Amino acid sequence: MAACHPKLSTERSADLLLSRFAEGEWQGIVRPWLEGPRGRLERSLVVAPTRGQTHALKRRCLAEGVPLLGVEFLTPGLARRRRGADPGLARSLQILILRAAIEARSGALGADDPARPFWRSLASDLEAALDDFEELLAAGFRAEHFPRPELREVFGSLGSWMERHGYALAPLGDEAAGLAEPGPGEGPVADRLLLLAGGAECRREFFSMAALARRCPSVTVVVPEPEHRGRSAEDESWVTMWGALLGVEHRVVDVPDPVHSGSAVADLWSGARGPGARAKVLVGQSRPDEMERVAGEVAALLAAGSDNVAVVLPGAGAAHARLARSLDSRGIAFADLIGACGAAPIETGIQVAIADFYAGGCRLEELLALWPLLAALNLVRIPHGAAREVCRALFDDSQCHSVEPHAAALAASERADRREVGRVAALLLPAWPAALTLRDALDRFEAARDRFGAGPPTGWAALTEFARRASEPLPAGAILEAIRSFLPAKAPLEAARPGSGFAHVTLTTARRAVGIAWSDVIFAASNNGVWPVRREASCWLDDEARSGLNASSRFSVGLATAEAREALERRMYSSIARDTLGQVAFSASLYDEEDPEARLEPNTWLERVIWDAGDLAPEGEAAGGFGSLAAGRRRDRAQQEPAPGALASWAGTWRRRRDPLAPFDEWFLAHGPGLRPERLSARLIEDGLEDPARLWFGAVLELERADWRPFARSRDKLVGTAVHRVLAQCLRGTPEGGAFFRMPPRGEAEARLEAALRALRARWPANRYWDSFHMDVAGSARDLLAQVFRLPAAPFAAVEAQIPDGASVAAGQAGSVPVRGRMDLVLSDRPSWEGAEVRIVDYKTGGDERLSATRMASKGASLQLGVYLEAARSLGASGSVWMLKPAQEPSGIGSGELAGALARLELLGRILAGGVYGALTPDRDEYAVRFEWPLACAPISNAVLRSKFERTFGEHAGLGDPGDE
Amino acid sequence: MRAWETPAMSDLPSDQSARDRFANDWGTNLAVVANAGSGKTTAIAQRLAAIAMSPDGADRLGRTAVVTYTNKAAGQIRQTARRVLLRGLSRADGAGMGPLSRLDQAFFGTIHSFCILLARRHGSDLGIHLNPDIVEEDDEPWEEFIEQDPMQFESLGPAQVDAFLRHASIDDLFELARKMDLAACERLLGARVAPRPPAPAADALEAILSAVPPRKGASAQALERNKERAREWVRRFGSESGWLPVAEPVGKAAGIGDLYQALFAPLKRWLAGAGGVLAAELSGRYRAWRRERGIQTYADQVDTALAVLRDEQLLERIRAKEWRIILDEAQDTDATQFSVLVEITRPPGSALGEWPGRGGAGPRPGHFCMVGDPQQGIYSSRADLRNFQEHVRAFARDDRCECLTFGVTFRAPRRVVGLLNGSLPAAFGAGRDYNYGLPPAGAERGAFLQADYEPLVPGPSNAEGGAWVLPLEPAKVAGTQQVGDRKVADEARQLARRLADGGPAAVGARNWGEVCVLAPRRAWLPIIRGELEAARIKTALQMRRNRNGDNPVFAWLCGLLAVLCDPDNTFEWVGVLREVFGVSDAVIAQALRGPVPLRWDEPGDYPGPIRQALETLGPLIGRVDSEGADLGSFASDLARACALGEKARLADPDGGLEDELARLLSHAEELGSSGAGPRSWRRGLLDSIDELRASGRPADDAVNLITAHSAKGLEWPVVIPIGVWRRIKRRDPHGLRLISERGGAQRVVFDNADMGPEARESRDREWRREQVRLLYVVLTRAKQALVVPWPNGQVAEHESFAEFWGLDPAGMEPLPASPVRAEAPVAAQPERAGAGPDAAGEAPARGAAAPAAAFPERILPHQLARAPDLARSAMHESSADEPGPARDGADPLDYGIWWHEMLQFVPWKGSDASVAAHGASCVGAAADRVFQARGAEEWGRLLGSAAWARMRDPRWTALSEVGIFAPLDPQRWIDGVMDLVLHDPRSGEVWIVDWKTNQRRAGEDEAQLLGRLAREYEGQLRAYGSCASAFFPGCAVRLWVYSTVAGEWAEVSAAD
Ligand code: SF4
Repeated sequence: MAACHPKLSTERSADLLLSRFAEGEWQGIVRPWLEGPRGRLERSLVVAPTRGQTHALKRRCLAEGVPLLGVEFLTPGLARRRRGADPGLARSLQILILRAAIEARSGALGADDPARPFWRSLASDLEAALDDFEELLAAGFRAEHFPRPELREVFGSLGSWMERHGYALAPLGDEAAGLAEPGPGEGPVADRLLLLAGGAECRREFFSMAALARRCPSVTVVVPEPEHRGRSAEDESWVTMWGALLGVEHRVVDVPDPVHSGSAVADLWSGARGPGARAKVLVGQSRPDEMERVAGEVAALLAAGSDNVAVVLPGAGAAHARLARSLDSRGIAFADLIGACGAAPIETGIQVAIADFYAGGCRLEELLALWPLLAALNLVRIPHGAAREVCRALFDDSQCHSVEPHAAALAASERADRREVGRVAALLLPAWPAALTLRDALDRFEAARDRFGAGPPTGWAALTEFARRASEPLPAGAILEAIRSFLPAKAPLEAARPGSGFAHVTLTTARRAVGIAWSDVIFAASNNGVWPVRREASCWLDDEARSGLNASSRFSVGLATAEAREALERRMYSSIARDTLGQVAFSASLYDEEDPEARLEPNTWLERVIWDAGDLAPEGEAAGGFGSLAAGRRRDRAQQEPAPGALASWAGTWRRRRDPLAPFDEWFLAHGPGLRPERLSARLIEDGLEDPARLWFGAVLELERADWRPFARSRDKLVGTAVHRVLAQCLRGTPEGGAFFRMPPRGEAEARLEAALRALRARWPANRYWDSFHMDVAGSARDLLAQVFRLPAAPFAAVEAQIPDGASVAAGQAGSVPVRGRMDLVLSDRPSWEGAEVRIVDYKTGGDERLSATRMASKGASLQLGVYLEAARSLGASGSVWMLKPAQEPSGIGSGELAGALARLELLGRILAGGVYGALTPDRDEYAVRFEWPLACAPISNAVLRSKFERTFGEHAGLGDPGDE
Repeated sequence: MRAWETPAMSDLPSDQSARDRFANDWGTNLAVVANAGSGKTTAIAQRLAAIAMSPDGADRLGRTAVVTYTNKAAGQIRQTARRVLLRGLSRADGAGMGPLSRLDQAFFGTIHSFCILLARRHGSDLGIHLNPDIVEEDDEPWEEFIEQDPMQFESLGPAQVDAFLRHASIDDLFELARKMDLAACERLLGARVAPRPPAPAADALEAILSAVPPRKGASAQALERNKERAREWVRRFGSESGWLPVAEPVGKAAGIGDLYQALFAPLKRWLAGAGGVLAAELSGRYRAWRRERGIQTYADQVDTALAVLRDEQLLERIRAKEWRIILDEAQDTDATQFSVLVEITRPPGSALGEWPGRGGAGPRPGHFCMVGDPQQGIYSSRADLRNFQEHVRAFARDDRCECLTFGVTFRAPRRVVGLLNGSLPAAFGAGRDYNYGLPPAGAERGAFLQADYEPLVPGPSNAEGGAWVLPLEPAKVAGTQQVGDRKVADEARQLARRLADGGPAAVGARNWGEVCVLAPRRAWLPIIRGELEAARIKTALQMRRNRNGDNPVFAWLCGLLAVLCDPDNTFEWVGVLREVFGVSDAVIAQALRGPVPLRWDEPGDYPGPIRQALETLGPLIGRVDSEGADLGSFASDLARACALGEKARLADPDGGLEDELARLLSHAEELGSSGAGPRSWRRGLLDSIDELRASGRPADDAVNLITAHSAKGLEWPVVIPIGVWRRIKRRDPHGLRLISERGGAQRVVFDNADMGPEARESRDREWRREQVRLLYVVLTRAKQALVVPWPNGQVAEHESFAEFWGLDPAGMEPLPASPVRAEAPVAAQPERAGAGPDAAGEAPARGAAAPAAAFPERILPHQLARAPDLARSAMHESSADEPGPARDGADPLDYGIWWHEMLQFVPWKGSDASVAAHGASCVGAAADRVFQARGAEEWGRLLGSAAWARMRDPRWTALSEVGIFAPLDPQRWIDGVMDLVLHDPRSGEVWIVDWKTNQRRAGEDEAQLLGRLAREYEGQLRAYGSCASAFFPGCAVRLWVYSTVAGEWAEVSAAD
């Protein structure tokens, strides 16, 4: 050992005791100590590693009738507070300072500077580096002990920054307080101190504990007896350290070892093998099943008189929640040291969403993410779906996710829904600059928060205080990260869950269960994860560096290497077993719900237990022995007993909908007569005959789906929209009657097109993406315009013309069906429909095939166009309909071919007349555009739908040929 | 070999010496080719176990990495190794358990996780992100990148970029850029591209223009149009500058496709070349962009490790660690992955990339060994088999390396072995063209690229088993639509009938769970399932890639959460009503028609079934945003309210849907335990809705259904491959992409036409070779019997398994009509009742067998008061270390807490001056607080009060904040903190004082205020008094309430 820990002053009474078993520790040390000061008014402190141990001590007092006065049970963290130690600066704010420092340093380097990458890596793993720093400090080292100069420098600068701004590095304060006697003005913290947190588990707290010891006139320190727990060398150093600090010789407390202990089970794991190492094994088929078994075992133990059962779980999570629920439902009282938490208040959710909004660069997506929260508080006037529609239109129009460019237009819009989105956006905007002072950032954030009526969360004052002291500009991203850390992700559980008091049963974790004499222990979910976890040291302070530093340390507290940590964890589990007075049990599950195929394995300890019991599977057979321990079957097959009425009818519906032999009926997109849609759009007719589900949702229910996925660019769609738009612009003229106007001469139209194209190009950024896009749009538009003028000349035209009221198509049984729709271009010999000779033109930029009456009849291809012509006919016009595609000959259908081409309207007629729609939704395929059903609707395969369709409408009722595959 | 591993001589497999060598020779590099069923997991496990037993085992294993393709496989090797070792230790008397812990020193994992480890340990100088986000699907990052990228290109001149964009769209680059690996990217960036695209060949145009239509009519018209189009295209190419994409011909008449291809071939070549360079540039930027943000794809992880190795110093540092690699599934390992593993094991100083094939030294002896089966290489899309073979050959050449073969299969029954050894050598052999690459110019034959067929050798205890054909009636299916599927259905129907009639024994199984029906195509599985279930045979359909959102339970919960979180969403309501509640569409349509949103909060407006649904969900809507709500309870309440469990069981009696429900509810519990609410749950579900996951699992009473690909690594007693006669179709990829050409060189092609017949042929052959290997996987899954259904008279279709196999069903023995007896049944597992208390060990003897007595209740004193004591409950230790948000000492404390804390630290033993100084400093510390003035005033009031004078009497021992934990009565313990306790041992007096900062009520005078406080808190004080008296036997206890507002105290009588 390099240097001396200055000894405690001698006026104090001190005792250093070594304990073997938790039971002995209680009987021989703790209980007598607690009972000591009867009749005296004194303050006594008991410091134990975690609240698990403090809870157990109090529990034991309760169970054995040891009343306490003036005794406080503390964990090391609380003990620091009790001593009035400076709490130091919140970790997230230290990170903020570090981020700023790193950004400054790497920013000062040239883009190609070889030193630059290091900073990037450091920034990506800052938490770990800060951990290392804290560890260094707690072991008496300083930033300068980091092996890398950059770390020495940047953490050194953190320290001096904090000092300059009046913040303390907590471990330094502890070290000073631990090494020196308190000043004359400092009174004692308590009259007596019983320190149970002096071992390697509380390595980081050593100086803080020493400081506490210096502030109590009577000190008793208890550490585990090294030889006993197979802990040897390292533990001895703790004994030596305390011995030196207290200035006393250690002594072993003379209490008999308990009659029963789980030592043999513990030994199985730590290496030795002895007789009697039988532990109970509970194996469930799944985690929930396992937890049921655990609950059953707990009940059995209680019934057999067990009075202090610990269920040791890996931590909070599904298994724990399930077990708590199960125990509660069995009426078994338990203390829950794992605890549960509930959702944070919606106000916090709103603040998190606000922070996300700025962090993401003020995008439409984050604005939409905020929306439902605001809707829940009635802070917005339009529903989420409507807001999404507005945002989607913004994105489609601009191909950019940023909200800011749209703000002005939204505010000035004539549409209420757009104004509403604009209003909410305005409450959040503007975006933050890349760097700003914390005060500025908080002002912005708080202002936005106030606008949504959310208040500051608890603890916010620390941030405000920090902002008062830190006046330099900081990176916005790092600030938002810090702000997020002050927004709690959870809240205490609203309904008091059982488990807050003391009971015969305790749900706990290994760290909280160690050092306690349980009557029985169940290691639950033992094969969830690996024991012990091997956590590698970070690359900032790797094991080599740690060992090196330890060798030259001023103190013997030292830094733990990965190996030491692993060994410690292993010993922690072993000693829980060892201290158990009754039965040690393990529970495990065979399958993990997450992966139905992956059979889980027992963990290494359990494996040895099973092996010791002679149950190990033969070589090569995957864990057969373990598997055979699981009672019950994988899943209990449904009993054949009939379901109760409502469920039976539900099941009937479910089956009928999936029965290929059952025709569509009112349970499957069908209604009785009388609900017929009044008017159908031409597009919906085409789509709806391909998949009548579209017709049902679009025309009968008139509902549209709100997607939730982020907006993504779709070039094809955008090209199509742009081409249609510029063509409409270049052909439009002064109205001559209704929608019609005089057709402009070719030269004029071409000149207008060029102007429109130039304007279009100016809307987009000058880069290759938009160059390419524009090239495509311009080429297609010019080509299509030329094609328009190659069609036989017509004096009049209408662009983007709505099918006028009164137009209809004949649809078989349903008779005449009013239709609507918008035609790209109508060329006509007169400015009205009646008696006109028209050419209806549709521009296509996508992959549609040529217009053909045969294909329209057989597959319904481009049926929409046929409907246009038929609608025109119903208005008294005649003529033809044309599909124009870039780089292709125009293809068209004349009035004469129409009757045959519209054969599929017969099916529409049957659908409308009968009110039976059904569906033909294709199977999901990454290439097909498919009608998206509501989320709750699990897909039914296309084969089934086709079969149902045939049953409903007859075998050849217009199903296209789907091909073999 | 150690004694404890040696089985009896007669039981030794014939390749035992190779196995011994593998287990015990740690000084040589070994490359093992392991046949299907040859137990390579066990072999690796034995090697590890043997190392663990050696004296320097810990050190060796600490530097050993066992690398395989999935975490599951890695876990299995680890587990098997532990088991082998345990068994060994139990036979070796006196050995401690130490070797087991040594095993834990080794690295077990996927190659990707190993790469992450290398990067984390060594990448900090290279700017590598040490905590990357791993993305499987990079749609979102890609979109984001595309929007942020400057979209300017420097790898080609502006005129070249212009030319590319004239004939192709920039989007055409995207897929290629997004998927391009680092090596291709670097190679392509250096490619040379002619300054401008070549003009279409005049002779090609001539050929088009002079083409003669085969007959009149539509095709002649089409040809005319094609001519015109070509002429016009060529004209515009020469004389205009605008958008001019490559033209496609109409129809196929007169071989127009080839003519057009000839016309555009030079341009397409150029576009492919230019596109490759541009895509590479974009890809490089995307890679840098990902790197900047810490986003990594799986390939990035390997590239990142490789980047570390490219740093000479780091490479040497890593080599100095002396890694020993054991690579499993080596045939699935690609070149980059291989190079990471190989480089770190090569001798110090070796230059990167020189082995294999460039003369450098290979891995140091004993540092690299690999196990693989090229016959089972069925992932050529991700790992080229040639690469594995090249490594094997390099090992074979190297005298410090050795190649071993595990020919013995412990799985395949002898009959099957005979059948396969008789037929498969041809499929894998030289007689099939596709087993060769394209011949180089002038040569007759290309390189042999197929895996060598390694004859199977049955193990000593393999079953005799059966290899049978199941003759079926020819399918009575006619017509043109979906004939193939109907034939498969017919085949499945006949098989089902046979199975239903004969039971599992019909094929030699003991239960249905021992039977597996395999199909090469996923789409056939539901068809087969339908037929089996129609014959009342349960099935366990195991799909590896099922979309989450297609699972009904997942869908229900998504829909339910969508409406609960956004009840204005009527579209989703429709889904919930019809699916979850089974409401008829007619009723929904009647109720919801029109643009009015569903009024979910007015259920009474709707007909019965809808009303019930709304009434069920209404209360849950109200809970979505409740603070402190527990998501686990919310989820289980939701499931219960909607009877999802029952519905799941009704919809899928096999329990698959219930499993899914359990999984999702557990997931909700898990999320809830970190404070998430229904909204986060919903978001999580929607984010994963398109994810694919495995579903379905085996059961004893259900026939397994699985695809050929998924069957790899699994085995069943009886295997029935269905539709082996049927053509296996594939989908051609399209667009700009990288293809491998003759000799393995890679080239970018513009489209399929650009690929050229040779490249296409080469790809076809490669595909066929892989189908043969897939067939091998299928045929080697059975432990007892292989049953091949075959409709009489059916001819093997082109590119069917049967064609590749060269199967003559007539040559196979037909499945016997009488039940086949399952031979050599595996010793029945002893049925154990795991739940019983005697499962292992006995419960230790207990003093009392009676149930433990009821536990005393713990009372927090403020529960006894009539008014809340907020300051006290906030300060109680039970709330002190609740996990909370980031908070530190500067939390705002309300006045009550401030007062209590001030009084807590009053130096009772000190002088009046020191007490006054303490107060002043506390008041000073409250400078920023709104209550500072009040604090100053009330502190002054206290000092001037009569009560204070009595408290300060020197006779007292005073202690503030005194914890008390003591019985109030036998069943109730009080657990609280008294504000101030004064004790005078000489007079035998104890006073207990409670500070109250409560404000005066309107119209209340001092006396009334004190009286009220005394009344309100007397329960609490009396409890303190009663408990405390037990600690001070013989002392008189008096109780006081001090009001800071009144500046006086009132006594509370100790008795009721
Ligand atoms: S660590 Fe302890 S024993 Fe060692 S030198 Fe310091 S005080 Fe002395």
